[in-house]
Amino acid sequence: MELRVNPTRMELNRLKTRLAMAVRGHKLLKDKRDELMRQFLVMVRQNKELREQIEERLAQSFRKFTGARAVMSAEAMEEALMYPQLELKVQLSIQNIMSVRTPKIDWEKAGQGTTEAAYPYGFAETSGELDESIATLAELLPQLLELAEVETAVTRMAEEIERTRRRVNALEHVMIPDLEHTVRYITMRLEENERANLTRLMKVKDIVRAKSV
Amino acid sequence: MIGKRTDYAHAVTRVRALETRLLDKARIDRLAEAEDAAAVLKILGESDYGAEVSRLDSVHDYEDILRQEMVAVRELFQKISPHPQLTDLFFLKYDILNLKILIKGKRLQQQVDDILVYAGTIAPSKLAAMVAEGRYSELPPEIARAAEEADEAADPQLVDTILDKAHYSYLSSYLSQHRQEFLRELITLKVDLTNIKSFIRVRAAAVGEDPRARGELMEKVFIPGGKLDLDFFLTQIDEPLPAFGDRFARDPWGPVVAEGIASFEQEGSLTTYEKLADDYLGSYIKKAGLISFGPEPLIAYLWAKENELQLIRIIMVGKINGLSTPDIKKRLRDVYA
Repeated sequence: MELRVNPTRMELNRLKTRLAMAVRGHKLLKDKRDELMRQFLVMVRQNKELREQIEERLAQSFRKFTGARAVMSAEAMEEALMYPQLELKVQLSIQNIMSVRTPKIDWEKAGQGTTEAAYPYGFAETSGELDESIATLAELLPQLLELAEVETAVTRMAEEIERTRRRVNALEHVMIPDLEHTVRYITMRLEENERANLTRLMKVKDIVRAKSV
Repeated sequence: MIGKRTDYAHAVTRVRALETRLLDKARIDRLAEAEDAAAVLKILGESDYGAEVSRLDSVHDYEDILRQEMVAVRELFQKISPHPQLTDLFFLKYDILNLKILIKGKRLQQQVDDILVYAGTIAPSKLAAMVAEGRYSELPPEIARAAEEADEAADPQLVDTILDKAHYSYLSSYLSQHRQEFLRELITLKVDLTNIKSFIRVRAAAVGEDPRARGELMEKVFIPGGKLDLDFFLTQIDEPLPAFGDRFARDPWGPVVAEGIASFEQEGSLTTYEKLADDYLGSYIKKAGLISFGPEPLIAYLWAKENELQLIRIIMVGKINGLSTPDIKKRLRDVYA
């Protein structure tokens, strides 16, 4: 569908510039989409692997935890875990992947227990299965943070890909054809005007010649 | 010895009558084989637990039953025990648990009222006041000293270990002092089996290969009052576990350790050891059945009741979390009755 514009030469020039810009933008956005897609696929694969690994170990840890919970009362369990020994300092920053803002999580261990072995409870009244569950969770923590990072990045990138694709499609199927139509329409109107003008001039010339004869 | 054995005549008769009402093996098996948690409660409802079960709103509140039952046992002992200073010793662990919760809560400036237990010898509100003020003079001196120390402890594990050490050393010294050989031996066995478990846990803990770090952790979690002393464990800290297990070949509980270690090496889990150790203690305490009068049958009943609540907990946790029946049964301790 052509745009509603005045069929003037000025407008034509303006539209031609816009068309050139749209075509260039279209190409750039298409490249961006392809590159985003490529990186997205890599990340999705990484995310999938990480998630599967973590889920398996988490299930293992939860099974152990259930085992420990079965032989410890609710209060004893609460007491054992209420005061964590390990403190984690998490620093959140932003990194830029293809102009997508994704989180970057840096962390360091703080507090008295800087090793995984630092259980916050005594061994006399707690189950051995609790150690195994807690140790697995402690080992998993870095991976969990990494997963959080990758998963958020994947979501953000998916959104960005969606947005870019919509823009590419809008340019490709609406904006560029509309501009091309309009340019053609104006060119035709201008040519038509030109022809009308010429015919009019020829007619005038005929009339003038007839009078003078 | 505190008082005469015959002082316990009335109390022993009471618990002997109550013992017959404990859940037997057939009932426990039925519970374990029930389809789901709701079915477990339904079967439980047919027993002495009927009234408590009927008051439950959801299967997830099953701990309420266990809590109420434990408080009921505590009240029973208060009523029937002719020498509470002795029987109270076996409820001391609930006070110790409350102390740990309160001290940690104080450190974290956290409200902990809802996780305190009511089966102890001292009302939780009274303990809370002691911890808030840091004055423990009403507690036995050994426990009071430990509580003061735990108050100042640098890390949360120390709070637990200081109080655990004091708890067991108080128990065993009190029982030795009052010549309660049977009960003293029970505590010795429990301490030894617990220390062996701690030893395996220390070995499994990710402290690296550094024997010093292992030794330090062992020293921290070791509890006194057993036959095996700390040096025994420290000298073995680097030995392979099966060789460590062989050391107990001539002890009556040698098979417990050997089988427990074998299963730990195979599956990396202490489930079997914990079950076998509890069963061993159970088989020891069953001998109290042969004692006509004295505190032993009372403590045996307390142990049986605690064991029963433990069994119900294992089954309920298992059913709620979708553990298979064999998995649940693997964890079930022997029944006293």
